[in-house]
Amino acid sequence: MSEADSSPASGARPTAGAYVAVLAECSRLLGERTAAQLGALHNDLLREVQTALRETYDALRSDVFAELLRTLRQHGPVAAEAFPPHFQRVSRERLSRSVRASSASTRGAGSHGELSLLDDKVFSESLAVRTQAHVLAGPCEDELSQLLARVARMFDEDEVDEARNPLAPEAVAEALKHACWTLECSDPAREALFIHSARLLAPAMPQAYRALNEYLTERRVLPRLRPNVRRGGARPQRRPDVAAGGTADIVRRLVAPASAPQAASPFGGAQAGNASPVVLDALARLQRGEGEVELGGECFRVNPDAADTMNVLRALLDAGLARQVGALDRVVIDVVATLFDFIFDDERVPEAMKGLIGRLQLPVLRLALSDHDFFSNREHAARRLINTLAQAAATWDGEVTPRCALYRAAEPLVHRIQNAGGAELGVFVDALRRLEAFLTEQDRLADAKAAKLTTALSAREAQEIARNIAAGTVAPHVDDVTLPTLVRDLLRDWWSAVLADAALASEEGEDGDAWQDALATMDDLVWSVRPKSGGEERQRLVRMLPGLLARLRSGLDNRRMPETARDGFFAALVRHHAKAIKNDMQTPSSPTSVGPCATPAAKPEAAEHDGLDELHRGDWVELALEAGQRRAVRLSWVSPARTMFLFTNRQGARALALTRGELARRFERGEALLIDDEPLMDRLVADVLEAYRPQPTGAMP
Amino acid sequence: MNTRVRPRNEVVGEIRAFLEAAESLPTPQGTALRIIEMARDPDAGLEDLVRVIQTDPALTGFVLRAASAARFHNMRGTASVQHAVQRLGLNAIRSYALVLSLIVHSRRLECQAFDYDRFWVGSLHTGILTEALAVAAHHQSADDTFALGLLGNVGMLAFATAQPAEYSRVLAVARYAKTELAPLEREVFGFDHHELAAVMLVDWGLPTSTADIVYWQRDPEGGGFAPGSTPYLLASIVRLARSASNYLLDPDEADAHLANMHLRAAVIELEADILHEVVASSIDALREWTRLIGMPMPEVDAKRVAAIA
Repeated sequence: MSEADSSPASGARPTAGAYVAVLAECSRLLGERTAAQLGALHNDLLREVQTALRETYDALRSDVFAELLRTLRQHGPVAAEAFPPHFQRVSRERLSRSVRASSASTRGAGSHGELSLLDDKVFSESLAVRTQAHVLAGPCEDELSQLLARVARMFDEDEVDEARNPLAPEAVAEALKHACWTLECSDPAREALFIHSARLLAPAMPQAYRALNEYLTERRVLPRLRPNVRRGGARPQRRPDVAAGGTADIVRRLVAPASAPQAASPFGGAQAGNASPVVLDALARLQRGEGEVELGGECFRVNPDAADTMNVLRALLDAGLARQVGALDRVVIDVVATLFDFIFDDERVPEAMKGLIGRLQLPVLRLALSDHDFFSNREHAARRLINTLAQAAATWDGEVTPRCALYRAAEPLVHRIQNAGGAELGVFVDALRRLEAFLTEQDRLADAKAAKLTTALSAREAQEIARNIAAGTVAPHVDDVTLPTLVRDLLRDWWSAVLADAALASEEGEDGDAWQDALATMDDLVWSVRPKSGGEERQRLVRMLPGLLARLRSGLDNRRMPETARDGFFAALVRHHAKAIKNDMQTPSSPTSVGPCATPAAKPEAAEHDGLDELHRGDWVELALEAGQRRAVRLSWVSPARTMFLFTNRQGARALALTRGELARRFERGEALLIDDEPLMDRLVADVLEAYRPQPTGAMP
Repeated sequence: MNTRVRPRNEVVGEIRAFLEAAESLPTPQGTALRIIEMARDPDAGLEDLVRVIQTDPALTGFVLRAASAARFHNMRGTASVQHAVQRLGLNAIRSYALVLSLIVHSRRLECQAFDYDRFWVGSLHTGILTEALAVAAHHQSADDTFALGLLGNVGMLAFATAQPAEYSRVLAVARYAKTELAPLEREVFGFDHHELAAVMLVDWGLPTSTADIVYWQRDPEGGGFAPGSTPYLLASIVRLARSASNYLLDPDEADAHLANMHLRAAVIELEADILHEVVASSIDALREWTRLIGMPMPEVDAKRVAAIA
C-alpha cells in the first residue's frame, strides 16, 4: 500500500472508509503475527498442560488436562493454524459494526440502547473472552492507548469504544477462542486450551501492538502521537449521560436470569442462581482472615495481607471460584472484580487508600451477591462508603499515608467491616456515618478558616472594583492627547486612586458625595487647562481655582503623594492655566477649545466568559504547585462580585485566595483542574455494566 | 479692543452723566489741582513744578520717598526735590498729588460699608507691589507703575463718595453673598468701578494708555492688547499686585487671592520665589508709606507671606 493510499485527503479530514484498506492490512499483520507466536509457543503449551495435569488434585480437572494434552500431541498446533481466518472474520465484523454504528449515529436512530434478552451461554462465553482479553491487554497498556487513538483517527472520531476496535485484544481473544474450539475435544478441554494459550501469548502482545503502531506511523496515521498517551487520559472522561434508568435497565436485565431456571454452564460448575450460604460463608471466612477455605471440593487460598494490593476476586476467579457458583453469580463476581480493577487503576485514588478500599473486596462481593441493589442504587451505603473514601483521599492535601488523619479515621472502619463477617448492610451504614462525621468536621474547620479571611477578601474585592471603576472613569481623559501630559499622568497615577478611595468612602459608592466631589474635581481640572475663550471663561477659571487647587491638594495629600512631586505638579499646573487664559491672545482666529470631555466613565470590563461562573462553593479543584506537585483544594467562598475565589484544603489548614483572572489563567494553562465530582462508584459501576451490555445479535458466533 | 466685552464708549456717557449728577466726588484740591493744571500748561517749567510741590510738605515727602523706590535702586539716593521730580516725571508727580489730595479731603465719607483706611492702605500697597513687580519682571518702561496700582481702584472711592448709601448696600451685599463686586455695581449703577476709574483718570489728565491698563486689570487678556506688549504685562502686573495685597490684607479670601497670585505670576513668567521676595519686601515699604501719610499699618501674618513660596 502506498503512502498516498493511507493519506487520502490533503487538508480534509480522512473518512473512516478511506482507511479500510489500512485497517485490513493491520488485521492481517496482527493475525499472522499472533498465529506465528501461537505456533512458536506450542511446546511451551504442552509443558504447561503437563504441569497442570501433575499438580491438580481434582479428578475432573485431571481428566480435562489429560484429554487436552492427548489432543494437542495428536493434532499439533491446531489453534495456531486456525487463528488467522477467525481473526480476519472477527476483525471484519467489528469494522463493519463500526461503520453501522457510525451510520446509525449519524441518522440519530439508535439500536445501541436496545438490549437483547440475555442468553446464559452467550454470557458465559462473553465472560471468558473478556477475561482472557484482559489477560492479553495487561502488559501492553501504552501500546494499546496509541493504537486506540490511531484507530479513532481512522474512524474520524474523537474516541473509539474498545468493542468497535477491530484490532483490540478482545478481538484477538475472541478469535483465539474460536480457534481453540476447532480442536476436536470436550468443551472443558477447549476452555483449558483457551486459557493457557492466552496466558502464554500475553507477554508477546506488546511487541505485536508496537509493530502495528509502527506500521500506522509509517502510513502517517497520527505519526507524532506521544508514546505516553493513555487511553481515555489519566483522568477518565465523563461517561456520556445514560438516559435515566438506562443503567438500571442494564442491571435489571443483568440480574433477570436470577429468578429464572438457569441452564447448565458450558464451562461446567454449579447451577446458576443466588449464591448459596455455603459460598457466602466461605467468602466470609476468607474475609475474616482465614487464609484457606474449601468449597465444592476445591481449595481456595487468599493471602490476607495481599487484599490491599491485588485483586483478590480476580485471583479467586482464576482459581476456579466461577465453577462453584451459578452463571449470574459468576457475572456478579466478575463485575465486582472488574470494579476493583478499575479502582486499582484509578490514578486519582492514592495508593494507601486503594489499599484500604481493596480490603473491602470480599465484603463488597458478599454484599453484591446477596443484594443486587448494590448495582442499581446510587445511595447504597457500600457504594457511598467507597465513593467517600475515594473522594476524601483524592482531595486530601498531602500524601495519604497510614499516618495521616484521614487514614487513621478510615482504617478502623474498614477493619470493623472485615471482621463483621456477615452480609449485613448495617455495618456499612455505620462506617459511612462515622466517616462522614469525620469529614464534616474537616469541612467545618476549613469553613472556619475561610470565614476568617472573607472579610479581608471582600474588602480587597471592593478595592479592586473601585480601582477598575476609577481607572475606567479617568481613561477617556488619560487617552485624550489634547490634554497636557501633566494632567493625564496625574489622573492616571494619582487621581484614579483618589476616585477609588472615594468610591469606597461610603456605601453609596458612585452615588456618594465623596465620589461626586472627586469626579467634579477631575472634570474641573480637565476644564481648567483647556484654552479659555472670553472673559467669562477666564473669570470662571479664576473663581474656580482656589477651590479646585484646594480639592486637588487634599486628595493628593490623602493619597500621600510625595511633597516634591505634588509641588512640582502645582507649579507646572499654574503654567498650563496661564497658557489657557492667554488662548484668545495667541490664536484668536483658530480656537482650539475642546469642550469638557463628555465620554461616560467606562465601567470595568465584564469578565469574559471564562467558565468560572459555573464554579460553586464546595467544588474541588486541583492546583499545580511550583514544585510540580498538585494540591486538591475546595472552593470555600466566592466574593459577592465573583472576582475573588477562596480555596481551602481538606484539613482547613491552608487557604488560598485567587482573583478571577488568575484562576482563569490557571485553568487555561492547565494548572487548575476541576476535580470530577461524579462519585467513583457511580462512574465505575456504570462503565462496567456498560461493558457488559450484550452485543447486538450476530456479534457472537 | 476685545469685542466680547462691552465697548467702553458705550458706558462713558453714562459715567459722565453720573459724575455730573453727583453731589460730591473725590476731587483734587489745592496742590494737586495746581499740579494737574500745570501738567496741561505747555509753558510750565520744572522749576514751577518744584516750587508748587515744596509748598506742600506731605507731597514733598511723598515725592522724595517715591524717588528712592525700587525702580531707582541702581541710582544714588536723592535729597533734592528737583532731582526727585526729574527722576519720577510729571505723570507720577501728578498721580501722587492726586492721591494725597484725595486722602486728605475724603476722610469723612458717609458710606458706612466702605473702609476708608483699608482702601487707601490697600491702594498704597498695590502701588508699591506694582512698582516692585514691574522691576522684578524687567518691565520698567512705564514711569508711573506706582500710580497705576495706587489709583486703580479709585472708582470705588468715587462710588462711595457720590452714592454713599447705595454703594454701602452694594458693598454689604457683595460681602454677605461673597460675590464679585463689579457685576453688582453694573447692575445697580450701570457700570463698575473699573469703568468709572478709567473715565475719572482721563478727566484728571492721566494718559489714556494708563486709563486702559487700569480698566483692563480686571481681565488683562480681554483688553485686546498684543501678547507680550507693555500694556498687557502692566495690566497683568497690576492684577497680580492687587491679588498679592488682598492676600496679605484680606483675612477671608486668602486662598482665592493666593491662587490668582500664582496664576498671574505664571502669566508674566515670574518665579514663585521672586514673587515671595517682592511681596515680603513690600511689607516694610508699606510700613514707611503708611507712616508718611498718617495711616494705621495693618497686621500682616508672616505665615501667609511664607506660604507664597
